[in-house]
Amino acid sequence: MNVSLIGCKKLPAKLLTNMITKLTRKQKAQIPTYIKKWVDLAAEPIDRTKIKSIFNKIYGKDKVIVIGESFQNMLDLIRVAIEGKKIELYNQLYNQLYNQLRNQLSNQLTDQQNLKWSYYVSYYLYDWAGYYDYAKNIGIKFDEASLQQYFDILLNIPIVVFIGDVIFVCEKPKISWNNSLLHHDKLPAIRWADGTGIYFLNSVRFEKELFTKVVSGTMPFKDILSIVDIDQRTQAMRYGDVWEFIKYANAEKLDEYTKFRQDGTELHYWLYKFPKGDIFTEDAYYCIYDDLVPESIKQYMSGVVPCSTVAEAMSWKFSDDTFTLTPEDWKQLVPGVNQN
Amino acid sequence: MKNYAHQGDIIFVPVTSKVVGKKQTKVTVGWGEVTGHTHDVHCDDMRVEKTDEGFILVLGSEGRVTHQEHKDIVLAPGTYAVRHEREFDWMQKTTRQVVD
Repeated sequence: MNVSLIGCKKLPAKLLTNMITKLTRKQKAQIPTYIKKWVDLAAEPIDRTKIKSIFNKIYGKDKVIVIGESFQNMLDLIRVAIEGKKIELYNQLYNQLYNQLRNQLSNQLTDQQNLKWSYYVSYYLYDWAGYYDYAKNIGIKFDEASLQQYFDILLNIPIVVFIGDVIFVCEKPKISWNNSLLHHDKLPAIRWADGTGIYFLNSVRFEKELFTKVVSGTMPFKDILSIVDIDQRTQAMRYGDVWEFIKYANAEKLDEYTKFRQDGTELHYWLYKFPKGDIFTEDAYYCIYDDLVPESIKQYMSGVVPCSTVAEAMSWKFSDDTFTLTPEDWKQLVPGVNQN
Repeated sequence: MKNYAHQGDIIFVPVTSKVVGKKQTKVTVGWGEVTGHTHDVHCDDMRVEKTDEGFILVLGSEGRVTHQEHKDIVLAPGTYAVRHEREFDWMQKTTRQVVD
């Protein structure tokens, strides 16, 4: 198969026959329209009648094409198709697609299972497609047939898995965004018609079980603090008010410290001691601090060893067995200069 | 003042290690498991060595650290050890690397 056709990041330069060096105000104003258009197209159903003709053109002959109604369904179909070979492709393939550990595990699977397979996810090319679409609109000349074929592939073959002579294509999901972040606090932010999907809160991925607990708003704060992943923990904290928790746990503020970004905005740090009691079996120390990202309203809560100042706590966080960042060193890190 | 640099959960520590390393113009020194975001160091003249503690980077010219959310930071030429933020888990009573 001519995978490079799907995989090509840029159209060959020879297909571009003219150049625009400066955009007019009107042309600039159209950019958001094309961004929205291609974000929306990412969630439009695939045109199933086109898929066959696309692969016929690529291979020059008929191929068996199986459409999965969802990502889960596609994986189930793949599992059924290879049943009898007693392989555990299902989960491994899921992880493959998800984590894009394509080279390492692909070799592993191929070696172990003696099965030729590969996959492609084309979503990351939508920004290029939107760019070409916009460029065409403002007068850049393209080879029309090639450009249309490129669009057809991206729009109708978003997720494809090739196993032997069979091609599995996945239907496109619905996608929920919040401020350009994958987000939905009731449903999977990426979801298919059969109800399956992938859960996100502000672009942080959750397994369904943890997601359900977090968005219920009833997750005990000690369970929230037990979430290992700091991004998931921070999202979970939004559903359980950290300052309410401080009051409830009768925590004592030991210190606070403020840094200033280059634009003058403040970056706050607090150090709290939570007394031994129902939640902690001994006195526990936590730093709460604003996100370094200027536009963010996130606050992190992270455990530290017993100490009495924010600078001690934060410098401990960035030290290890072989290196010590001193509290003074930490104070010298300036947001927007050598700290971002 | 030492040339420390900090981006998110990664800190760049100036060191005097003598390393050979592999020539690269880009290296990913941190990866967010649930966000997919990466801390990438870009430099035209860089040697990279992977150690048990992390990466050692030898920058012959100015480098730039990028991330999908955080703003870029600039690394002056020099040798840096890449270290990762840690935290204390008061439920498990263990120290661990911050996972994001």
